[in-house]
Amino acid sequence: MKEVIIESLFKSYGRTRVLDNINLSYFSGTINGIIGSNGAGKSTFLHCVAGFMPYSGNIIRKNIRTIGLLTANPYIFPRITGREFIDFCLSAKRCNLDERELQRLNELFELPLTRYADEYSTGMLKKLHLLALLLQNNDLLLLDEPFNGLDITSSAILSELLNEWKKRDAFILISSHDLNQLIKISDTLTVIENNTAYMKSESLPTIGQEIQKEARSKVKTIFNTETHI
Amino acid sequence: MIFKRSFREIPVVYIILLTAIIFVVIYMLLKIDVAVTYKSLSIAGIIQLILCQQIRQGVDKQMLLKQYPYLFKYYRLIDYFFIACIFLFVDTAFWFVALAFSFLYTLIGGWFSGNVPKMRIVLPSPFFVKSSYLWHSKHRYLLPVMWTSIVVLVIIACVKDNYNLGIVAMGGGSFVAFLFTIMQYEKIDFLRMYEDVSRFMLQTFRETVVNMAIFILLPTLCLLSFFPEECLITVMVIMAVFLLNIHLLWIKYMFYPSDVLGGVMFVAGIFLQWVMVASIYGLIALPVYYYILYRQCKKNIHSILSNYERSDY
Repeated sequence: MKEVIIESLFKSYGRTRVLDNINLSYFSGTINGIIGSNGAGKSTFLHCVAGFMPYSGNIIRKNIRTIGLLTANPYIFPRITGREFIDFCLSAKRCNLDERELQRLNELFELPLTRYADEYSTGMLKKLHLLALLLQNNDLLLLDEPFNGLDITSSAILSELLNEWKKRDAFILISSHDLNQLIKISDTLTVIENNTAYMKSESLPTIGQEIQKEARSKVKTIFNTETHI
Repeated sequence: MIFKRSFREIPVVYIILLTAIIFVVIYMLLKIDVAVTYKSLSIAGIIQLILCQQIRQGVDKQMLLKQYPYLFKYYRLIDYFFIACIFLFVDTAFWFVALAFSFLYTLIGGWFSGNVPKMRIVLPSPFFVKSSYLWHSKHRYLLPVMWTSIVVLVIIACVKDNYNLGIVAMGGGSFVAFLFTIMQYEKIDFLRMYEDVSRFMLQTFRETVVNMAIFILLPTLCLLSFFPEECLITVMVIMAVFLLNIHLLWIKYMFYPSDVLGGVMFVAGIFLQWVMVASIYGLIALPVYYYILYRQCKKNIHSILSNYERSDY
């Protein structure tokens, strides 16, 4: 069983503390959603879990040899085609390309793989990176805002795909602002706020309702106050 | 194969110019005669470290590369290797030192470079849509220092009664300052803010003129009040600085997105104007030259904006 155990995780940028004493654990065969307001530290958290960024504390990655990370604004090398990028990623990870799997996945993503990837739109670029990551069979998949820039159909397809991958015992952490999509696919939901992170124990639809309720009351309060002024 | 294909895509004019630049640089490096001592070798190592430190990959690029075993280190090492080639033309000993420093920097420098984002204070300009001119975060120290230095030098020129010092300080100093501000690279999304070509041309022209006026206002006032008898030369220098600014602006956007080509053509343009002003016929041709620059700049911006619209799906 694959496992990520986070013990006393601290991360600061200069004097600004972003993550403060985080203790969490995640297991394989689950999709774990991460939510938080803008600048709360979701991306930093994922980068630390991946071990691509220095941090204080202890992150134990049990039985995890390969990690795939989709960043919020994925980078692409100039003047290479989508297909060349996939070949590059797979060979860099010493994986063999399963042509049938690639074709099946691209039937869903509908990417023009013979075109230069730097001419892709934001959503297409994200799909290309996802395609490369899904073909690698990484032990841990960290997805930072995967639904951002995707059209409605692609978002729905991605949700279904991740569910399919979960059945294959995939281990996925997703940060997103799209709570509806997260609730649909996640088994656990981690909230990052005030530099700390905790897992929500309530049922996921209840959390959605709670957030909506809170937002509604905030808007009402502000607009009522302004009307009185 | 990718390299071969990319090479074939480079326009011929770029290849000619870049080859010329490379040959000139190699020639100049070969001409440098530095004795190989411990001191010079240490300096070569330090220069290499400084150059390596200047290369920073964005966070997203780093995160992509770090997912793959050793890829981030290889990537950096290749970059540093190419930088070290500069030393090869000076002396092989310097090259070996530079390579050794590159290797060490790759091994130990990864955690220090680019992982800690620097907090940059940006003071938005109250005058322009484009806040990158006088108050751009990257030049927030350079420009006030330049400006203060010019004023101080003009005052020293007054005390020493040396007009030449004052006018050279103003002309040269403001030229360097404008070179840094105008050649600041912008992404295509930024250009799109201007919406259409005519607006772009007008707005950038206006910004450049206002920016220049603000920057050289105080030094000009100092020069005019300290050296009133030389006011004609002062006015002519201001005119020259103005023309240089416009020249720089239009050349930059004429060759956008290539900074290198823009820079090379700017220098070539300066020499061309130098030759032109040597005779009365050249002076007549000068407005024609500026008109051509204007047209070509407009044409390039038009093609950039329309291409962008086509690819924005």
